[in-house]
Amino acid sequence: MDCNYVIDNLYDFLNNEIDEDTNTKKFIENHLHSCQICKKEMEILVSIKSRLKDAMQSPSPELLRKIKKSTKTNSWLNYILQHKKALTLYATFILIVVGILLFSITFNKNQNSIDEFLYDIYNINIEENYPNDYLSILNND
Amino acid sequence: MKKMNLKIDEIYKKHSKYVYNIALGILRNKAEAEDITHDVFIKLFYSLDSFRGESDIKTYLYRMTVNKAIDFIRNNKLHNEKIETLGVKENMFFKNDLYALLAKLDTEHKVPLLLAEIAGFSYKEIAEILNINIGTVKSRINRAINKLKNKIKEENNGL
Ligand SMILES: [Zn+2]
Repeated sequence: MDCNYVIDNLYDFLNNEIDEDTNTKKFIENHLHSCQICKKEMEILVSIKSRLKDAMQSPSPELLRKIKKSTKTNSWLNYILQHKKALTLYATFILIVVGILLFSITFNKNQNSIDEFLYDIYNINIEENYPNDYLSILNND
Repeated sequence: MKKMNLKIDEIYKKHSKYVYNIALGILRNKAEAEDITHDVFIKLFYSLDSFRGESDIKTYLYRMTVNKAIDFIRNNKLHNEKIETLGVKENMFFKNDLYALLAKLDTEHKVPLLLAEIAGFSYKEIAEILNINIGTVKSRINRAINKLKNKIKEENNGL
């Protein structure tokens, strides 16, 4: 009965995962001193643990260089990721400007009233004789 | 940029062996395990700024390793073929029978075992990495070790 209990908790015991507050740890320790069967069980577990660690291998020495190369060739991507906010802002700004320009062109073509529109807002005229008008505005002031 | 490279160097030095061996334990194929390690560190590199500390990085790193390795098996129909055609010597991860025995464990049970034995994580850390509760870690890891133990006993008893 004790053996079953000890064997069930043995791996957690070896991993130091038995609660310190309970008596389980002490109980297992004491039992292992006197029970050959459980001692044998523990030896098997210890050997599995050490074999798992012994089986560890190293990745090829070139791997770090390969990783660094990838991060360098992708540095523009990194730049984008790092400056996401600023770039979004720039992109939005450019889109708005392009949008206004496109809008103006269409507006101008269809209704020829963008000049009036701009005139209303900025008090200037952008017809072909723009410089003259500009001068006249200045003169009027 | 330079400062970040230095940091990735440090993280690589500290964790790459564990990351690689956990991927290897799941995939049992060196080339695939290296690909996973490569991808994991690239992804980490680009998200370095978003971590608050060392333990954040650790959780992210190993969670990604496990997820990517499992995804790889799921998405790669050639994976099992690769294991078989590579030949035992070329492909060997665990010496002798332990390698073959580990192959018989479900990934679900094997992963917590690899995290504990290879990377030395506590059950609490494993629970965090795998996003499951500690009781589940305990039962899965014990199921894995018991299966290994029983197989080894069978073999030692001369079958
Ligand atoms: Zn006993």
